[in-house]
Amino acid sequence: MRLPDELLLKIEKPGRYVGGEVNAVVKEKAGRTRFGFCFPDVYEVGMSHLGLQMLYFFLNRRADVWCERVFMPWPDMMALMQERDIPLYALESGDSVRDLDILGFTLQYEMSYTNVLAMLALGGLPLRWAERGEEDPLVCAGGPCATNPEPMADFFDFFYIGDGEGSLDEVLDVYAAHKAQGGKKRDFLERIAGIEGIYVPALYSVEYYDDGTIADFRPGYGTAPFVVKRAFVKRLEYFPEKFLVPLVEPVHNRATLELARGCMRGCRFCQAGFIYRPLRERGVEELLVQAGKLLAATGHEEVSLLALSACDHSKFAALVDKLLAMTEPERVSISLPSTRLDAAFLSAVEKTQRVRKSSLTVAPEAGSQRMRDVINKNLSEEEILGGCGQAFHAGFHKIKLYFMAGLPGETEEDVHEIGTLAEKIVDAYYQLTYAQRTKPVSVSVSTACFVPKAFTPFQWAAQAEPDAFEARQREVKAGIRKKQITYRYHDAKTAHIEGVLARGDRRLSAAIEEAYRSGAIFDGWSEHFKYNLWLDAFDKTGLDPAFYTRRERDAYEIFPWDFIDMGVSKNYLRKEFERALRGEKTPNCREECKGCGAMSDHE
Amino acid sequence: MNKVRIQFSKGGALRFIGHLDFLRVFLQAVRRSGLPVAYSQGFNPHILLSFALPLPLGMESICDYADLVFEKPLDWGKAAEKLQAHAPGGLKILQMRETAGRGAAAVVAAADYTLEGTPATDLLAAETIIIPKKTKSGTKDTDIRPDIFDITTQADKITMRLAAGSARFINPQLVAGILLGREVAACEIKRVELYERIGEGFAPLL
Repeated sequence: MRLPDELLLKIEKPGRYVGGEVNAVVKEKAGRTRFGFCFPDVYEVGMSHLGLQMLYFFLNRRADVWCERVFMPWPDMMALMQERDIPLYALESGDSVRDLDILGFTLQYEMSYTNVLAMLALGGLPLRWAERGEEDPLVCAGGPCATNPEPMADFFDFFYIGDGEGSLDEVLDVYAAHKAQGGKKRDFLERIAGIEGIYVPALYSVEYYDDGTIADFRPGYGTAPFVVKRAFVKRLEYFPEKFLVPLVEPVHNRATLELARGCMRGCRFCQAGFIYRPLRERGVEELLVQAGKLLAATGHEEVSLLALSACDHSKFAALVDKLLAMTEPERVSISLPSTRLDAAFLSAVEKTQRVRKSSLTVAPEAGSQRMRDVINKNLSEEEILGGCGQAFHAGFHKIKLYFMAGLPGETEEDVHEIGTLAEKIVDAYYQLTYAQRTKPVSVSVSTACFVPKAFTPFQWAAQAEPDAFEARQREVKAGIRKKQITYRYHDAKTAHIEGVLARGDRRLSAAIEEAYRSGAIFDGWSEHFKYNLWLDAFDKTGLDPAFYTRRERDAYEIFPWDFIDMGVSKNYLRKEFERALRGEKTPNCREECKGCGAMSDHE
Repeated sequence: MNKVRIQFSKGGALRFIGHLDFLRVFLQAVRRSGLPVAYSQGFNPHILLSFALPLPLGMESICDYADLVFEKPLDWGKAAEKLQAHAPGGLKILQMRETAGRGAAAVVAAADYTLEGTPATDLLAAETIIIPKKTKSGTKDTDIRPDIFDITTQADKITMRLAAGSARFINPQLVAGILLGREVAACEIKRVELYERIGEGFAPLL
């Protein structure tokens, strides 16, 4: 199917919908498993996502698979598609998603859940697995939010939990055999249920206590394991030699290197820091080869060094030096993500600045030292101020500071210290000589609303309610007096819904469907988010959002995600939660192994 | 430093991206090709590439131009092949030739456009064609007749030669709309050539 030109000229950014990018993969349809990689957000967001680029080429490296991309159309396009009965289609072939064998959604953030349903509906597919027929594609999901799959359990035939390289090949091998033999979807699902990382919601049942907490969660079929172990690779080996080069400017327009997966830090709020443990690094030589290939294949002018904490790479300094030697003559700049202000990082930043200037992003996460200890962000005020001072010396004059509000045990005073810290950073700038202060300093403070996530020490914690978040935001604002500081904050109501979904159970599927049917869509976009639709949806489906957000959980409560083994043990997370409440720090993995359990996957 | 004029065509999916996106996509192709292009001096060095005239969203061009500066002389035929090998679908490099004159954007004065249809009026016969034009302070009546250089019709194919460039420009959709007496979409029109003024006449940019 080709979209008519006149339709494309009626919508915003039609280049999102036409495909045809450099390095896009087109294959013969016959005899292949057709996989649709579905990103439940708009093209420019999806195309900036490293996971999409990696999985696209990982799946397409198989001769027997053709992986295409499917994005969520922007509301203007969606309305036109509905009006004219144009089904959601895969970008490479233009074929309706119904013609594909497997649709794989990536769940990067909870607020994209209604977009998943919108995409299924646009594809002409029933939303629930129970209502889809044998002729419809299998619909699955992966990504970080799949670590608590339960709120979306009614919609996906199966979930894939963990590293993509771990078990995807096995799943596709089984699918190819299944397709050749013929058989029901259920046969296939029963067959893959035993593979590491696979969770088939249909094969499990849940019982609840009267208070709404889980009494029992168990498989009802032989091959389905009691504990679903995550898919895992000990060594990161695969990396694509090319990236798709979008025609429409994406959010991040650059080549990205995955320096490492996992993080040694153990910040207690950070889900990624726990679910990707242990830290697995790629070697410097390997990364240089990958950078060379990617730049040659894309023509990008920027290469980004991605990891949860990039400068913790054990050969970080050597990597930056060698990479610079390669990229500088090619006029390629290196970008470093928001990170820690330690010596290795600052020296790298100073070096990369030879190519291009930019502002510096720092994430102290909390204003007071006490709270930074509670969340185990091992970063002292001296380090922050010293680092910023050094950055100012290197010619930076814009600092972005990221914080969280509503952390467990946080007081008014802790929040007030966010402004105090920002002001101290402004003062640090004025310690430069007059001649050094070539441009006005600007410090931007931004606070996110803390949402406790599954598989973190704070999974037991109560979340702040919207009015409490808003009070916190007013307190931060009151603490900022200097005109060089600007303050932004995330929406408390969005965080409230995110919090419900993040630690929700499978009863929430009904509320998500209800919210979608009443018009919720693009919930992660402030201009589209409608809080009241969600509150009404909870009401209509008889669910109380406070049950999911406001409660501090009992130590013995069974969580909806407890049946998944992400490596780190629940026991360890509980100990970390208790240490957090006492304000005790935990050393990082390199200083001392505390036996979290993730290393057992390595054995 | 060798300034080269590139003649190319732009169609397919590329019709649906804006000028800045096309500029980026073109630059990426240049970088992938590894050709020894020259960079500007200064803190943010950039490739010295400039297009003759942006193309409206949705319109195809079968003959367009850009100037690109190289560090050293090359076999331009081979360079064109190399650039083509790295070009996105929809971009065809037709030829590359060294040029000494002023930039394509500076000299372009007219463009030929084609579309299907039968003219409802004879615009060339009109002394003046007054249309309301939006300005900063409301609308102002403007005579667009001087911007229409020629209109010819053969079978059902209309060719319009219209003013194009930074000094004077007339929107081809506007003229086509008056000509056919209906709204004309950008995708119905093809841009087929760009000209500079030579004395009283016009000459293609390459």
